[in-house]
Amino acid sequence: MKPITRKEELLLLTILNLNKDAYLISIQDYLAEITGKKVGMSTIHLPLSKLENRGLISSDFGEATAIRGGRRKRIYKVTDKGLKALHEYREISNSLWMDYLKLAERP
Amino acid sequence: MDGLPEISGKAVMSSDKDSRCPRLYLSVFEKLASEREAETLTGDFEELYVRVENENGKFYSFFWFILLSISLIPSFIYNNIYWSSIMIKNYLKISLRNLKKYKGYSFINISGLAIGMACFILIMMYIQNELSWDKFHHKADNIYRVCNDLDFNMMGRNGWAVTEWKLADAIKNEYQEVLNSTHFYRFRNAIIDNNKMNSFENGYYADEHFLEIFTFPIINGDKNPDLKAPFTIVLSEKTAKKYFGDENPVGKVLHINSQYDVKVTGVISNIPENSHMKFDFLISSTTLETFPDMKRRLANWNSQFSYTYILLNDNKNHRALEKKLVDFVSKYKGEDSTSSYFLQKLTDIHLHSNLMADISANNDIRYIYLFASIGVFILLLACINYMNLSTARSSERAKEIGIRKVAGAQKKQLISQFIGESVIFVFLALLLAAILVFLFLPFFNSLINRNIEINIIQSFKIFVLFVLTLFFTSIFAGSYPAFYLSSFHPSKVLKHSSITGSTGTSLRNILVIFQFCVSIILISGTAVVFSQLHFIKNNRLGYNREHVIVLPLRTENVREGYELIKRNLLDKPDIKEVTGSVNLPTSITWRNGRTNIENGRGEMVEQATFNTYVNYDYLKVFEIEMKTGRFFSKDFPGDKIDGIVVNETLVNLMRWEQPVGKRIVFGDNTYKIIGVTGDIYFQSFEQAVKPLTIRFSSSNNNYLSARISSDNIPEVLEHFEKTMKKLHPEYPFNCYFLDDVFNRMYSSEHNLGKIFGCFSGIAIIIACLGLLGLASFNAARRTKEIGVRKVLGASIANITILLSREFTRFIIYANIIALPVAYYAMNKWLQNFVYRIDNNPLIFILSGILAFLLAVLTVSYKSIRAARANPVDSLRYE
Repeated sequence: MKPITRKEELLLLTILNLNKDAYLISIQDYLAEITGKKVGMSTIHLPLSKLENRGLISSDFGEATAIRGGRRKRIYKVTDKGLKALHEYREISNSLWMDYLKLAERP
Repeated sequence: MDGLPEISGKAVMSSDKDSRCPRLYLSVFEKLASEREAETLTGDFEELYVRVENENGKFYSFFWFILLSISLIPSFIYNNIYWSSIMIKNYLKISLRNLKKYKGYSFINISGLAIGMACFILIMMYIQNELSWDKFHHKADNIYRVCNDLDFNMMGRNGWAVTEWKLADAIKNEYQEVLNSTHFYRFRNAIIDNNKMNSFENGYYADEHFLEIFTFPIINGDKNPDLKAPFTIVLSEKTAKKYFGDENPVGKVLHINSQYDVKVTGVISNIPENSHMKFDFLISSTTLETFPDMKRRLANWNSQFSYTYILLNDNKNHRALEKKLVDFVSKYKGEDSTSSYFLQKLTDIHLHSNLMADISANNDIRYIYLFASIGVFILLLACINYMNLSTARSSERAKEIGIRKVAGAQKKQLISQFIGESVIFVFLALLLAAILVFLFLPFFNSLINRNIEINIIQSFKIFVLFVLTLFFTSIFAGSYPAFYLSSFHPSKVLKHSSITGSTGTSLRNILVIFQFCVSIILISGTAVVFSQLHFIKNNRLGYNREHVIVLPLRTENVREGYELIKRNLLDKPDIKEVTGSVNLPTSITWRNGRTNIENGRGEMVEQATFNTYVNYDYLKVFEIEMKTGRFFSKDFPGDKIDGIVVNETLVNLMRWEQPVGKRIVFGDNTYKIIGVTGDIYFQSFEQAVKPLTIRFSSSNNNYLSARISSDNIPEVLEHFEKTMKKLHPEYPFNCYFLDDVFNRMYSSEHNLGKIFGCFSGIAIIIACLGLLGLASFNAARRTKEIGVRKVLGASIANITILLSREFTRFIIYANIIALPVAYYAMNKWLQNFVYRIDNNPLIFILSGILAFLLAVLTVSYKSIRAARANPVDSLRYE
């Protein structure tokens, strides 16, 4: 399976953390909070579509609110495949860090 | 996510007065986003907008909106492409499944289409070849030929391609807009000798401007080979190789006709096929000017024998220049001259020129239009097949369409699906067509006597042609079935288990009738063209062309030895008669506009005549009929000096009751008529016979002609060769048959006949293929009905007739429409020929019957198969 990028990892984790409330705007806000940088709609939207088409996340319709003019939200969820991809990413990160730490320990 | 697109529904929209986002922005956004995302994304946008406007105000928000929309474009594109490709994968799967499921129909359809496309492409390649004639000259747009519009008394006006020798220089001096001019004189059957071998070649005496105006690349020698000095020669690549092998011929010497020597000053690359001028060498025309017997002719303003071409500064001036030439005529040919000049564009010569004494046999633009329409029609027939078969089999797709519609497919989507299917289809057919074109190109080349190659430059044009054919065919042929299929009503389709497929039958029938109309017209056209050609070939034309061998006599030596040669030849009994003449009866072009002839009242009047010179036994060799008086005879030695023979046409023209004894005066010489021959058709069939005078040629016979028996032809040829080798060993031996010369004059009509024949055969094959498909589908549709009928006692014959009747009706309708059209069209074509066959309706009726029989055969093949099916099998499915 094709490995995910850092950006995709961020998105996947965000969606997991937001639980059932992950839609484009909430993802945007959460990421801005975590990274300290403002993220634009377009920076997120394309990767989200790609993730969905690869089957790492799934989407469904959420509630409609007045502030959206009565339009429904698109709520994202991470699929099992997505979770697996996230774990793989973490494993690679971990092994690299562990190697580095071992190296750093040697006198 | 897999498979079908999400069905988007819209939630109820509350009023917009809660949000402060301008409606305009919202609608733009909605339009941009894909269907799937429109609602959710716009909602996100609206939510964000409120925030942004609160923080930064309306002005800032506007720019934010613009920037955001632009930045989202890549995303939109990506989504669009992704989902389209998913649908396309689905369509592809379904199409291929369909193709595999109905292999028989698919094969018939694809091969029919492929044959049609291959024919279309081949014809277009031929037409492109014809249209490219003479366009390789860099200055082609501004090159014009000066032609003569001579009025011969009582012979009517005719355009002539030949002009006076001095015209080229004069016209350049007189007019500024003529940047350059050149002239040349044809030198046919020149004997070129390099001391090791000799042979006949054809070329021109051309002046130094010839290579300046025309683009014939020099491959050996300097940029501008000398054609100014007398006795210089430029060779074509082929000729140089023939006489000098791989050596550089520049500077070397060749002997011409054992009369004079020339020095080679350059070699030009081989003349391309698509040039109306074809020559092996160019000898400087100043050479001609050194011959004392040519001097008078070259200076004569009443002798036309050279070809004059001019280079204009701007081709828009050509009309104006033509008008100015009226004054030119008065100045150089006298105030009372009735001739006039006109200009002919170089690139128009091949297809639009129909002049006398032209350099080569030209084609006719009307034939090009004809071939183009044949090509288009054949493609049309193939497309009609595709349309008919697709719609006939629509009942098989009905369920699929119904379900797609229920699942939310819009008509637009269905149409694009079916057009997409036809693109795949046509693409496959195109691949097959490409293979067919490649395979059949050599055959096609031999059919039309051309050498159309597929090289790199051509490949690109052909590729474009292929792509265009692909688009045209798939959209044109696919749109009808697409629209037809996409208009099925889901409820009707899903309720009944099958559509009978009887909808749309009437259009299908009309199309079948149209197909057969076209085929019948083509077949009868072919029949007429062939019979006219047959008529031309076999018509005696006043003389017998068959079994006549011609030997050109091109040197003084050989001409003087004529009598000896004749005696030697006659030793062999298979060689029955031998004669000599200045021209061959196939091409007498020497003419005089002002022959003085004594009319019935004893006065001398001017009459234009064609003239030739012949030797004894001319009548016997060519088996020409003598109407009155006698031919040149050894018993009357005076015949050689002042005897003259005329043809019937002259007699009728002069209205003589007693032609023998009348005087005819040429210059200082007076002749008396000794006899009248039957008319011989010495020009092409498109001209009426002109008046002809025949005088005696003692020692200037250009041709020796012999009538031989039809047996032992190889032996006879051997005897010819032996005789010539014995008497004139240094003379290159070359002889040919007279009927070959004749047939070459009709090469373009021959091509027409062959192309017609070939493609009408293909047209009817395509039409029958279509009929086969329809008939088999028809039979398949009615298997149950046939089963029931058989059980009730119908015989195979009954059922065959039942199934066939429907289609055979169409052929009869097609005949009724097509035959009168064909008759009318063929009549018009035959008007081109002064001497032609009677347009017998029988030919057309026979063609119609032929088409009918073929169609019946096709349909009944399928019908019989169906009729012989076991009713047990057909009624078993329930």
